Amino acid sequence: MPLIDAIGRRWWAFPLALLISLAVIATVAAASARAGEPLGGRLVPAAAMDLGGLFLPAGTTEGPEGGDVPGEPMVRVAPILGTEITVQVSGLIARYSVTHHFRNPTDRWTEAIYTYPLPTDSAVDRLTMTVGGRVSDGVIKERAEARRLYTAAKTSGRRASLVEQQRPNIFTTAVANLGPGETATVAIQFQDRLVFRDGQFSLRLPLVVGPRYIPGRDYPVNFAGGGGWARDTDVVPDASKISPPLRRADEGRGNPVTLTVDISAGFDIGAITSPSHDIQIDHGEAEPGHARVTLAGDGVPADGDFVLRWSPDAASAAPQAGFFWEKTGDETYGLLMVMPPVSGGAGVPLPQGPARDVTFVLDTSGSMAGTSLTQAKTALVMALDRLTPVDRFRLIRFASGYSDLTPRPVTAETKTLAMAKEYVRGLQAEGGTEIVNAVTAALAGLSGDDPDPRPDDGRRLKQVVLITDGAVGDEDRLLSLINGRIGDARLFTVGIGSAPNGFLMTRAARAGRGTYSYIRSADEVSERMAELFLKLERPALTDVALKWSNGDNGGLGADHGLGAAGAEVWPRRLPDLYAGEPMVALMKLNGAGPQVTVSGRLGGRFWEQTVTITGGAAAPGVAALWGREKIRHLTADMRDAAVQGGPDAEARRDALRGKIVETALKFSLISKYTSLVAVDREPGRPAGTELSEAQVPVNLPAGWQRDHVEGAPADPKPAPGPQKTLAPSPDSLSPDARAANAVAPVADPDSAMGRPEAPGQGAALAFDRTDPAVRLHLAAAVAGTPLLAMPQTATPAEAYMALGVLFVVAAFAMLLLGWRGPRPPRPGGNGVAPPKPGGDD
Amino acid sequence: MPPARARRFPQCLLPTSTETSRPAVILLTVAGLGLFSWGAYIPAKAVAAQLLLQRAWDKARANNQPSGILAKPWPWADMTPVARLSLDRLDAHDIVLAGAQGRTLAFGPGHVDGTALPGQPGHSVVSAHRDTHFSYLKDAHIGDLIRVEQPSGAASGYRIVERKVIDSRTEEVMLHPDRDLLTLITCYPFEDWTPGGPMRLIVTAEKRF
Repeated sequence: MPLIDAIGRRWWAFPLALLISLAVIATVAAASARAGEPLGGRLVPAAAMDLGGLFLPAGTTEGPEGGDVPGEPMVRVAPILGTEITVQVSGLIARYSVTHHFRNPTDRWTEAIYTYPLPTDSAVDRLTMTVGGRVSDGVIKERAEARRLYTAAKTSGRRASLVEQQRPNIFTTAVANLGPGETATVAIQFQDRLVFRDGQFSLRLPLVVGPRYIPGRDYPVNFAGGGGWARDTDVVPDASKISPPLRRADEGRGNPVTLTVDISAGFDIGAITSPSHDIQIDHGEAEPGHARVTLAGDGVPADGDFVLRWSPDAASAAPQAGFFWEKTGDETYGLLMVMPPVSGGAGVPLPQGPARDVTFVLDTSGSMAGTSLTQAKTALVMALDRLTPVDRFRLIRFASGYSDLTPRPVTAETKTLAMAKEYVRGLQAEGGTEIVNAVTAALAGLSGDDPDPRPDDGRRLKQVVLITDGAVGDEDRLLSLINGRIGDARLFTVGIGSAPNGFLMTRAARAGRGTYSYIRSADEVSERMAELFLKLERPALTDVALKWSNGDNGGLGADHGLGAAGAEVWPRRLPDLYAGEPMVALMKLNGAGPQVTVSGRLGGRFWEQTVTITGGAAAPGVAALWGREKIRHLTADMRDAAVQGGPDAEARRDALRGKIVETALKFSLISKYTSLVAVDREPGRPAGTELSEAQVPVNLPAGWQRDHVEGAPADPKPAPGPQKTLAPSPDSLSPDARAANAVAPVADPDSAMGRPEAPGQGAALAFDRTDPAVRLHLAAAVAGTPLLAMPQTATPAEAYMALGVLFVVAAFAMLLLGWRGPRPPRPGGNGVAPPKPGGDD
Repeated sequence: MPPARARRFPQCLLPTSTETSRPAVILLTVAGLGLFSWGAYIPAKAVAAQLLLQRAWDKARANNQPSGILAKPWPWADMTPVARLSLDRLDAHDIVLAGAQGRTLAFGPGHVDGTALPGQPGHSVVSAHRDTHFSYLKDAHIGDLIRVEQPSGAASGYRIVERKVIDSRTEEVMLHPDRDLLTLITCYPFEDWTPGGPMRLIVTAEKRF
């Protein structure tokens, strides 16, 4: 009652109370806004946080927006990379040392990740990381364990490096805790055996992983957890790990490489050539069997395979046989090479081969656009010209789909050949690389229902010539297909372009019992194709076998390469040999010897040659090569087990996996299941500082066209202006839409013309010649801008409510005081201390 | 949490007699209730707005029309929804609105202008209040799946790959337009009862499908 009276008498109390509470709110808001001020006006003040009416229209009250000023786009700088490669060639074996120099140009702690290629089946056995003068050696561990060690070091702030194999020819190096401005050197060493064919030695070193076509449906989760541009799919479950981000067109070419090859040929060297790069050759003062080859120029961008070829000089005969061995402990490993008679040589007249049915399969996907397709077309036209009227041919082109020129093989007459050549000339490169469907069609056409059987059909050679750059991520699928369907046909691969997928090309040829030819440049087309024609047209050496003088058959035909006397030979089954190709076998001798006889059938004749293996040359690296070859076979067995399925498939796979790990650990080799990891002892990154991850962007392979491949980064500039309106959203699951989004709309006149982007073009590319430590490093930049407007993201709700409670409590306190205290007012009665409000809790 | 320093009443407000204390008491009570309800109104509005927005969104989806042109969730609503975020493990569902200004943040998480839209290629940034829509981020951890539904109905998923706290005075959130990321930003720490702190919780998720 007194309260109501009071209200009645003091009607002005309401507006006053309202006014006061508003004043308090304003004070709080102002205080909050001031709290935002030191942040340079980048934050939206808290006062703006509760604006907007839901239960009542808010009118036009628009909160002050301090943070909507878009700043100058800043550049996030990626780790800078330079690569230094030295190769020691000794006879048939090359020992590589690849040193990656990482420099962190940012002012924050960084984890640098670089995805790069190595020759297929490189036996990587050493890792050395150097940071701040401290050298840490890598140790071989099972993959998961290696990653665990690496992650532990990364989390604790120590520098660490991890080298993993993603494919037999794709590796990833990660360096954790690279300090601001710091340089780290990660060196790996591996061996590879040289290719000796057609009287020529060659060394092929890929330098860049080109963007690959990833078929399949995207997985809901990137299980592989890679940082690449591609998503994992059901067909390529590790796509995110084999798709390093690409440098943008406006960044020019980067990742410079220096390269030195020291050759000890074992014979007098004739011509040394490189179809890929400009080289300088220094024959030196020493014997004519030695040479040193370096790249011309001051570091070339890593944008294509480096190929070096050399041959014995005219005076010295090409080697016909060779044996290289290495003793580790009490085990002796050997590498045996025997050259079967070359056509026209050694007095063995070779019969002309039988009539052929040739199926040409041509890749016209986007990655072939430009010089690659031109080379492929030239090669294909040359191959068509080699056909005689007894031969028949079929022509299939593929990209996202495939098409047959003719549904059946047609006789190679003038008319049909002219039509085919016309068709080939008109082909354009665009779209995906659904290679499996095309090869399925090619192999299906070879077997069974032939509507036009000829009397001699049983003796026709069935050949498939696959011309592609192999830029796909689903290699295993194709290999399994060829393995299962090849029948009595033969598949030959022709690799095109600056950076084909050597792993796919060699394995497909092996599965198809054919050969792999690699055409590096347009100048090489006729030479390489001529060699291929020789192999296509001449009969191969078949039924190749090894026989030891002490009775062992070398284990050929046995299940796991183990022979009676214990010689363990890989490959398990020696492949057919085509004209100009040597037989190469790796063996663990276990007492076998001292002589071995290589035999085979060549066009109906029996051929054999005996080699004494007690001599030979000691060659370090043979043991590791043997281990690597064994791993290769076990991996192929695993793939087959997966394809065949069956109730015990899982058990077989586990057993094979165990064997692979065992072999890899024994020889300290990186494999699919083992990695090298190096950890620095000293602490690096202080606790509490943030570690950011950065992928080293790679070049688009030379000659590729940016707007024809998926994975090329989109326009680096942030979209101009705020995106207020809703664009029609593409279906995120459609590969077409994905491709459309991924394709860069950037005009790129240089690459569109098929010209390589030479160093020196573009403002972002410049050699820092003043700093000797990074002389070869390129200034690089990657898309990335700091987010400038960081909104204030807390409401004053709690503060208001707390204050409100405080006021009410105070009012009650006063009310209590007012009624109890001064009923008879007494002097000093006011001296009662007000209770301290307890706040809101 | 009570303030560390106890507040003393200003001398002028101390009662001298019932007669004089009465208006002051009324004043304080009304002001206190006003402040309290204003404070309570903020989260209530945040919750109610989302309920209305979700209803409108679902309706638009049910009618198979792009949710971008959904019926106004309330008559004077003037915002544009750009996506629906769901973190199912924490049973959190939010309609994200265009623009991360105070106005929009009162109703839902705001999409930061200039960054990619959630679900679309590129780096998308969304921010919301730590004490309303993004309070659940306190319990979000690496590996959680965030589902994103675009107005077209296209669904995608992001997996949380990073969770860190930064000081916005010295650090920045880096945008990576070349990667498909979704970054959620809110204030930190969650327990703080006054707004305006410099710390931010940055949760980054990477697109998986």
